[in-house]
Amino acid sequence: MLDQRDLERYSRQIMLDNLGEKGQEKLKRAKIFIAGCGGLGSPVALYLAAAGMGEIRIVDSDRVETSNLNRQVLHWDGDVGKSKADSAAEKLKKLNGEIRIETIDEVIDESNIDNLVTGFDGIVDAMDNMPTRYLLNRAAIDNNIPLFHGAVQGFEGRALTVIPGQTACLWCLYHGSAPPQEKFPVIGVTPAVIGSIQANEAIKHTVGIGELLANRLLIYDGLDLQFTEIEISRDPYCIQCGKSA
Amino acid sequence: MVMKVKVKFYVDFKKVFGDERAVELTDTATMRDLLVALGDSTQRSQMIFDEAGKVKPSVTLLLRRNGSPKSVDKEQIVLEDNDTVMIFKALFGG
Repeated sequence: MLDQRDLERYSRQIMLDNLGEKGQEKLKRAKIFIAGCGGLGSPVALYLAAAGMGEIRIVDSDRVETSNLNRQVLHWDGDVGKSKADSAAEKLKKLNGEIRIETIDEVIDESNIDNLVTGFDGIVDAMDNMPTRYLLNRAAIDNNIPLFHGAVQGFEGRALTVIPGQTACLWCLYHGSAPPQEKFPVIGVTPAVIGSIQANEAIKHTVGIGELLANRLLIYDGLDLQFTEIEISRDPYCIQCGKSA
Repeated sequence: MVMKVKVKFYVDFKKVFGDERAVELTDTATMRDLLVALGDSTQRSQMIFDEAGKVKPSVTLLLRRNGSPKSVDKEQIVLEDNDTVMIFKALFGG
């Protein structure tokens, strides 16, 4: 149930015909898991917190480095050396003290992933490496939780929403491909664009409005400023979501 | 016999290869044969293959044949006349 503070705080989005008070109540009840609190995780967490997502759990085991500050907008000069989890919690609680924010300073791996996502209504993939992205994809499918995927490099980005059992998953698309992890070039605006799209997908799915990026890979080219969509489909032999999985 | 395969390129591939190409191949040609045909200059070849001649892990291939496009990871898949192949780079950064 929304209280008077909620009605005032979220009044500009409650004004939306397709969101309204019912949609805001859905957001208030929703629980979102964000994997990673870097370039993508920062805008995702900021916009979901601002929108009044009821509970946000963020997991990240890294410490803030000076070279993060061009894009990881939840972390500031004074945070260098702090855990990203602590740094994020501090800012997000100041942004919106009305919601529950939980940050966990842990490495996401096979041993803890299912416990970490159990009970959540959505998983945001804001990671920086493919092995963990595939872990999230597998956990999303096994636990029947939608996955909001985003990835960036340079001026380019990708976004895809996975609805388990219904739409193509990350493994259907990339077949387990995992280039060696290395430092990648990126301009801060790119994760801002893609992270905002991931947050928007999470909001739309929670409220139950709009068309999701399901079976549609979004390709963003910030240099030529073009958004392109590629239709994709499930692989029936996918080892993570196919019949034999 | 010769078959024709349409190839569509995205973002950085588009900047090097153009929007799309129609490639003529023998009717037993595989996806790898297509990729070799596309890599007809040092720059184009280096976008597709690594130093060992393997397709780079970031090169993503979708195949449209009688329906919705499907991602394929098999270089040995035999292509058919009027297939459409879409090529773009997978990104992994966050």
